[in-house]
Amino acid sequence: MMDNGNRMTVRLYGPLRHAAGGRDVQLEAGATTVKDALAQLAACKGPRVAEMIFDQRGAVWPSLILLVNDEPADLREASAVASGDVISVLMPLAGG
Amino acid sequence: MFTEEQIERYSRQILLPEVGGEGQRKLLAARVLLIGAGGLGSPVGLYLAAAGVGTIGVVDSDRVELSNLQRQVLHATQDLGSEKCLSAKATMEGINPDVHVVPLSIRLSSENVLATLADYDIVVDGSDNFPTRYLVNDACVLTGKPLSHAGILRFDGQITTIVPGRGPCYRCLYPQPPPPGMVPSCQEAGVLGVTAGVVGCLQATEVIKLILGIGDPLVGRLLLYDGLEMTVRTIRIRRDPACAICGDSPTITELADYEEFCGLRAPEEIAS
Amino acid sequence: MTIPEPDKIIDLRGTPCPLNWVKTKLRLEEMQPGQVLEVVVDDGSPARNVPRSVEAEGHRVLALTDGSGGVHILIERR
Repeated sequence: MMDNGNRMTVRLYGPLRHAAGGRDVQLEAGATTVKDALAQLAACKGPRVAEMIFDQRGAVWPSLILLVNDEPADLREASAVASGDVISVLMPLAGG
Repeated sequence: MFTEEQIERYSRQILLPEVGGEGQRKLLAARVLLIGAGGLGSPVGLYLAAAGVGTIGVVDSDRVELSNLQRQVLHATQDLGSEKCLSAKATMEGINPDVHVVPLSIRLSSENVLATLADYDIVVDGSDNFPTRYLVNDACVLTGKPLSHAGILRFDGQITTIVPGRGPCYRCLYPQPPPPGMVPSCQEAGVLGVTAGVVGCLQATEVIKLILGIGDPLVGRLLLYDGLEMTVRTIRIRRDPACAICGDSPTITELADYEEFCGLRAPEEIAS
Repeated sequence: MTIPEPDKIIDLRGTPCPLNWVKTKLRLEEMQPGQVLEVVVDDGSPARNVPRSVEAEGHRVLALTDGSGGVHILIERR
């Protein structure tokens, strides 16, 4: 993959954060879409994280909230990302 | 008009320009339904009773268990084995005899949810499972009733206020329940008791604001509470025009029961 | 300025702070803008606190007079 220099952060919440072992994950490999970034995250953090993000067909679960910086990612995983962006990923919490 | 005792009881909030006697009358006339008398339902019940919300329905078909007492502060050791909705009634009415608590020892389903909601103006989701959360959201959207939603796990919470027609609903955020086993329950992953307290108190605040018509409720905002970092982050959320229940062309027009799934994974699958 | 006659009078002697202000506030809420309320409170903190609260709430203290074992506060409801 060509390195376009894009470096960004994925900020994780809740069970994803727990599974990944930390809040922020730095990505260095030139993602240009949210989906790229999530794929890199899954690749470096292993199968438990991967299955919380992607279903068996490789689509991103609809019930993840995806933000780029502070805005909802309008095109969800197809949304563009640039160097320095922070991609936030949230899951619903059931506890009460 | 107020009795001498009521004037004294509610004096500290009547003092507030945003409340006054007019606000206190609204609180006493309000009818709020709590779904769940557990972790979130407890602080909501306590503070709504203290504030003088006149009628509070409490939906919970469980009995008080020992592991509940770490966070479900409506109940005490002496209540072990009692029905939670009755224990809640005793505690809440003990705080404030102006409040009439209606105990509803039922499990919500598509068959009974609309009838259950009918007598109430505002609903509070303090449930602990996804099927109920979607059912309650859908029922509130179909009936146009405001809903306070929150969820907790470990040290974290999420909270938003759903006012059908004014902002997004639960499905706008989370269109479908996650697959079984993806999101651990409090039973599997644990929860710090006071997390329920903090987040439930935020819910109680929102309910009171809705009743009084004051402040900025979390409509179109999701508040993320992180107790370990002690940070609060609020993100904007939007109504989804394609939402299955509140969108421009809804595909859900009646209520359904998601499969009740246990959510517990086999011991060897539980993440360390 | 002529001191207007009150539309309502309440005697709050013996009522401690902050209940004396709370009762004053509740009575003012029931009145129309422009109407005048006379409140009789005890000397001391009540006589200091109630007028202050009245003004903080946006109403106008028209007069403060000593008499008959208390302090009379004349308030214009805004």
